[in-house]
Amino acid sequence: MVLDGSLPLAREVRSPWRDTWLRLKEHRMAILGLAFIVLVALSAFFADWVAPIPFTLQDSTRAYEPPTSEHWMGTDQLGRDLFSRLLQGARISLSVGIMTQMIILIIGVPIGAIAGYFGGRVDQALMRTIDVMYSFPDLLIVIIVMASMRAAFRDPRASGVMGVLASVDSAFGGLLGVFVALALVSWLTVARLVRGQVLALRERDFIHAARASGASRRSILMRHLIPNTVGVIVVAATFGIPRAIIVEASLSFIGLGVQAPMTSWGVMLLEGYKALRASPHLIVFPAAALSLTVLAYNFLGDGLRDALDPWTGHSR
Amino acid sequence: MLALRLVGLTLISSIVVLFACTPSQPATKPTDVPKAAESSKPVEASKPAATAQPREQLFRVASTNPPVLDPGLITDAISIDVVNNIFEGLVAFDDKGTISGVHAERWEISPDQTTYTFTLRQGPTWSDGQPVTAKDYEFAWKRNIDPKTASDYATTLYPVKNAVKINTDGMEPSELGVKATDDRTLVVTLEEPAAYFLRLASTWTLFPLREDIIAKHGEKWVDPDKIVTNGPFLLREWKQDAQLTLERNDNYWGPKPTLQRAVYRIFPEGGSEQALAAYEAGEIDSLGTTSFQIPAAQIGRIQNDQKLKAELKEYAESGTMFITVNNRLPHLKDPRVRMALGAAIDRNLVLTQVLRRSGTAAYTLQPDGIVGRKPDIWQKEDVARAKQLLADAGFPEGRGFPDLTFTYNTSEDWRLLGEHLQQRWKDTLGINVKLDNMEFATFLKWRRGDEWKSLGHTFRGGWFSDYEDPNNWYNVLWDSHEDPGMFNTGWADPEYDQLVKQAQSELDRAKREQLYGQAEEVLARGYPAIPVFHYGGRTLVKSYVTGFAPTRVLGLVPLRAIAIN
Amino acid sequence: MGQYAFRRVLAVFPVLLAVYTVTFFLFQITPGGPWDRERPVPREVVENLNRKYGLDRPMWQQYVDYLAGVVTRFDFGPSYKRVSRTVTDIIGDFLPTSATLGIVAVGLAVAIGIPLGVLSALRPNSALDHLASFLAVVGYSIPSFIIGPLLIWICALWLGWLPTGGADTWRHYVLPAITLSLAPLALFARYTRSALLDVTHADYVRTARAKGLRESMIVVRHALRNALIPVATIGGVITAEIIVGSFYVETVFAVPGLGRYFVTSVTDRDYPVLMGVTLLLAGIVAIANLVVDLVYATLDPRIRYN
Repeated sequence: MVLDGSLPLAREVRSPWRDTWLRLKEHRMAILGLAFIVLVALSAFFADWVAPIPFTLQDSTRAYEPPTSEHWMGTDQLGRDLFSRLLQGARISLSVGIMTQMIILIIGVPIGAIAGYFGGRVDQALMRTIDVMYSFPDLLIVIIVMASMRAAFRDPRASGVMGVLASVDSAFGGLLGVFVALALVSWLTVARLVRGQVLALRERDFIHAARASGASRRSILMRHLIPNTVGVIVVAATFGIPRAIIVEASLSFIGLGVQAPMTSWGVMLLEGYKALRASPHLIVFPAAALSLTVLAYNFLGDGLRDALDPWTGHSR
Repeated sequence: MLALRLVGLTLISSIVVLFACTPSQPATKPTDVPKAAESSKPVEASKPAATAQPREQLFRVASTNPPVLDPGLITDAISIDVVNNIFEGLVAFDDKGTISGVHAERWEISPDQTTYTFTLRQGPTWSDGQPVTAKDYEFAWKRNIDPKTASDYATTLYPVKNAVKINTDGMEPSELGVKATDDRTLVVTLEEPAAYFLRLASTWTLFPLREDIIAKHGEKWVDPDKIVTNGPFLLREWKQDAQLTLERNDNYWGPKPTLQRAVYRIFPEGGSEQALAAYEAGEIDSLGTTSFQIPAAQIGRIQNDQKLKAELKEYAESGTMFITVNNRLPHLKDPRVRMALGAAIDRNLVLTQVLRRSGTAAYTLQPDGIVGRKPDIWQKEDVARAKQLLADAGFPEGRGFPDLTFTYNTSEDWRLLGEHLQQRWKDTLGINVKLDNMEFATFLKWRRGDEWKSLGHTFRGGWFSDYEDPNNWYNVLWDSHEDPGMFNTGWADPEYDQLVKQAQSELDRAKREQLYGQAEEVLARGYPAIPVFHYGGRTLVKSYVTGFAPTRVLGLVPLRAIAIN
Repeated sequence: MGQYAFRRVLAVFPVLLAVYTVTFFLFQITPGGPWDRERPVPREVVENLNRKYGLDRPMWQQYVDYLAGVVTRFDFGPSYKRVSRTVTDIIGDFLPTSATLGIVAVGLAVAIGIPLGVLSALRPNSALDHLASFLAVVGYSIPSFIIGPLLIWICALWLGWLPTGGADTWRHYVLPAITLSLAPLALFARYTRSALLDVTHADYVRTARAKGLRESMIVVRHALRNALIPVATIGGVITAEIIVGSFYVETVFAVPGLGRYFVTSVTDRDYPVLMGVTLLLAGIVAIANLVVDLVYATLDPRIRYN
């Protein structure tokens, strides 16, 4: 037996990334979910080409019509094609969901992890701050943020940073304020979840082992604890996305969401709810779109969780 | 096995839920007051109502929660509706404009029309038995004009001598030009002749109040166990946010109402869908008039349903929806621009297709019933003419015209209107419209502020008559002194101001009408705001309800006229 | 543990104070105020209204006076919009209804959601798992203002089994409770499943399996308790929110609860009511979190709160 390392390796060494991707591919439902999301995103992006009829074309005499060969999903309250509106809505809804969730994770995960790991006074301080932030009237904050931003953007003299922000804002249908406000009030749950997990995990054997072998606190956090909270984070994110979409819709309820003629799925649901008993197609299609997208995120999330196992570091 | 046990648990939970859904006995109406026998059967939309015996004289109507029941502190229509049924005042008007004395048996007007002497009837009493005296009126008016009371409708008392000084300048409320010379005589002195004063006397701010009750209980005097009223109905119960119950006043001095009880079933604001569902389930007898409209999406279904269609009731309302325009801005200064915008709107399309509501096309700002109005002299709908007007004003085919902003507070109707106008003005005039919707309180603040004055273009506006008199329109809205506090259009015409000021105190009826007619002509030429439609109401009422007659002013429903078959 | 709990209870007060202060500050910078109406209100009347409610005093004085009222007399002030009612009246009238509805809904969510999650985790990626996922997702992503009217349409209008709204008898609570329970149910199911899947691969579970214990014993004794940690986390917050009432469900079913006031007090700028419900929520959330942290310790004795 030669022990000089010249033996051919039984199998190739794979990087964790590639490993993740391969494991993900094995997960049928996850791939299906991913495909669906990509499909929706692309359709939304190319909405103007995909949809046969422009989404702003009104014809009030043909409003509330059920699906026909001309209007695949029927028409809305002003006779606009519902299918086109749905695709336009996808743009806003997907962006709101994803952007807000990203901000939430970036803020919430580190804070939660720090609180859980260090415990004691740090934990108390962070958690009590979260309690305080949790209780204040989000609605008020959103109103204030939106009103200030509107005042700032409306000013024709806006230039420099403000000018850039103003154009970003109108690109997103006036929603920049909503992203910011929404993210500000929503990162709290993720932080709490991560903190809970970390609290439970930090007394586990493998953490003791890592500490005993001299790993730094930072490395324990980054390489062992956070990756093990992935399960919880993924679920939170997959639920966070539809939540953001629906909260954006409910803000429209009181005038703070997307500006007409732009639309979002949430807004379409809100507008359609009064028509439930008369023209159900106004609700059925946006609701189906929303549910299927969330389902897709869910399956993708499941797959991701399993696929990210190589990062967890403890024996399986 | 654990799995089986868990499945079992889930099954049991589902069964519990399903069980909750099964009918054990017919749904009985919740009993709140055990007065009359509770035997109203649930009427389902598909089954014919089986009535062998006469129905209970109970009327159930949908409404929102009235925030205030103190006649002096009223802010909104549902409060007015309830107050008008439990309180009453000196006089009342019908939709034709005929006056009748309620508490006032007769009245004398001095030749110079500045002094009114009311002689009160013998008979009217408060719900605790005490007679209604002229002192109750004197107290109420002085209390309502008192700035400490901070009444929203204190302006209704302004024609009375010293009222303005008391309310805005610090004069003592006791100086108000009203005096009870004895228990049955009330003498009112006005600042200057006001032909519409009797109209004001029929409104709620001039109803009598009990000094001792208010002194004893303070703001809580309106609680059902403390309140003292003088109308044909009594406030029996008020379960906040749930329901409000009125009962017939058996001690009422006048003809007693047929209705025994009225229940205002309270729904949250914006709850027209819930109210409609409750109506169709037979839980209420009418959708009401002050709080909910039939949702635009549902009207088609209702009109296609034989039974529901027969239960639709349309009624006229004294009000106009118009688009307020900022007359100060360079591109909106020219009346031809405003007329072009107005001429380009297809009002019937807006009413029947876009908003799907009841109403009539409006070319003048004043609704039907307001003396002086002349719809024929105003700009008609005419797309070709609209294009011409815009070109004459310097914007042929909309070239050079800046983007027009249309602002509104969030509501489905305004959004539909806004999106429609966006398309319409683009197609007909080549003008780009930006929509700007605001949260309600933010909107209210904005329209009264400097931002509107310097930057605002247009916003959704409208006005309902508080009382049906030209004064409530010509003087209160478009007089250049009032304009800043009302719609702040920035339009001003000295000839108009002079005409309406003269008309306000004109004693001769014919001359007054002529003056307002002339003012109308100036208004038609000036076109400060764009009239869109005159409001009309549409609601549902069960066929067994008779006497449901909403008034043109504010669409109030006097319960005394209602009877159940 | 007792000492820890006591310290946590004490910590509630600074939290409430902080919420009070920040909310008070937010009121000052919100556009629009309580006296803005469609009809113009003369400037003098606005001044009078401000005087009547003490809004003309300097800010620091309003801050202190109101706080003093709350702390000494439990007096949150009168409602600006509903003139004859105080905030305490409003909370007293409506909190019980919201709380009852909320507790029933959470109960349903726990009773159905957790078992569903366990079942899914025991057979991951099976048809049952996918079905459960699908139901959870639908329950979560279709908003209550859609499911509610749908249920009303079916159960109340079409079948005539239940009333369309209100809150007088137990029957009135059925549909709102079901609607309210769907989102938490989905969350509980998914988090339970996810956490269980994480845990069943851990060492101590493998050890138990190797020892030959029954699967059910393993799940309940060992795995479930750890898996319930994230469930407890969100459970605390969800319960706190639901107890004070849900705006959408209460609106859709016309339930006279407190939830509506969270929104209407903002749009009406009825500041005393808003302050009252905000402090109430803050208190309940703080207590809920304390309970959750104590529950953590019960579920996993290794957790220490040094």
